[in-house]
Amino acid sequence: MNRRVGALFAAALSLAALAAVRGNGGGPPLYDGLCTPPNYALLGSNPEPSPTSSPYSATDLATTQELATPPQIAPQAQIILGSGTLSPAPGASAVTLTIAPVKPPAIKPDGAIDGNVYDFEATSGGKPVEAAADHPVTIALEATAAGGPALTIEHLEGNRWAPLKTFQSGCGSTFDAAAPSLGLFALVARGASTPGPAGGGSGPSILLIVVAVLVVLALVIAAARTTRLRR
Amino acid sequence: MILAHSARAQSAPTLVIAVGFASLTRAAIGGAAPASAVPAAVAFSAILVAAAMWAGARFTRIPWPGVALGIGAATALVGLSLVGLPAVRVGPRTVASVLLWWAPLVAVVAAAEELVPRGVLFGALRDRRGDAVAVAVTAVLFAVIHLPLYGLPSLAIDLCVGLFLGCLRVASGGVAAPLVAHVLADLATGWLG
Repeated sequence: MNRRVGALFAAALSLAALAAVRGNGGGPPLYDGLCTPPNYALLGSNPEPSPTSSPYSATDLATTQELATPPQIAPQAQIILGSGTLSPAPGASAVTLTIAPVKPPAIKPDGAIDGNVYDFEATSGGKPVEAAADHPVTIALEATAAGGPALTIEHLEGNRWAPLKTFQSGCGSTFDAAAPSLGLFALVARGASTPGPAGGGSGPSILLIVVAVLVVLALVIAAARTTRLRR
Repeated sequence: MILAHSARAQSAPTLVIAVGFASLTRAAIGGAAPASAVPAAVAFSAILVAAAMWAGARFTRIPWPGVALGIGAATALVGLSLVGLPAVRVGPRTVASVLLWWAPLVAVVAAAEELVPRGVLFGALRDRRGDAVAVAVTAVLFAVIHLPLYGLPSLAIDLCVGLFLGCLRVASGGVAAPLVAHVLADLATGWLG
């Protein structure tokens, strides 16, 4: 087989392996660049995380809309609405979308909540409106720190927190999920009593692994060269 | 365009140590969040570029077929990063003030990561041990230097990406294809996340 064709075939196999490791988007994110450090504002801290609200006309809602808080570099909570997901109530001209950090409700999830609980609401003509059937909304929540455990976005449904299929993106601190309706959402470290350690993989054990592998690689290459020279 | 050619084929162990030194320096400067530290990224890139120059990387004309292959490969990587996501979300880095420093720095870091592992080091290993060993060793190295940034969960992903970029290096005959693929994929997945 031609060397280059073989290499392209091997590249395709590597891509397939990568897809398997990514697990249909459920695995760690692929991004390898410079991250924006999370600067998370917890409810009750100073400065307080602020709610955000925006009106959308029927014309606006015919296209994809995004709302985030805070609206700067690293939003802590964000919602994406596809076209036709929300419509103004009869007699109303707009839908007002609100994202607000709220105190955790009395009902506890099966794990520790990471960051704030966020309330995503839509009102029109003074009454709540819901997402259209078969038009899920995308909820994105930021973790309090990068490099912590994998978290799940949960949605308060009645008297229980329901986990949503969650995708980790960006530097690993952003989590996305499609939700069938609006309401309360939170990031949860399932089964944990605390959100768990954060701070990337720069712990001493990781650094020891890095040093050990690099030393072994250098020694193996050097030994192979020495053996070759002796021959 | 830099063609990272191994003028010093005997320098492979030294280049591995240089890559390791760059990675550990980035981890040391970056502290608890090395992937977010700009000075750490600058130091990391500077060490790698210095190592590439020391090993004989030199400027040459742009190999357009390699660039084209790199663009195609970047498209595949970006597409894979979006699989399963409920919506494509343009990330926070589209703000002009962020783009001014973020985009060039991400490009420089990605290019530096290619210049040594799949540039001069790849050339040195391939000359002595063949393509397969060069691809395998540089893929392991690529995965290991990302451990301090993203932790163990990223090991398998970076190993696969390292193998993919190494195969591109073999298929294209130069470092341009993996370099372009790596830079574009990092910029695009950063924008979209």
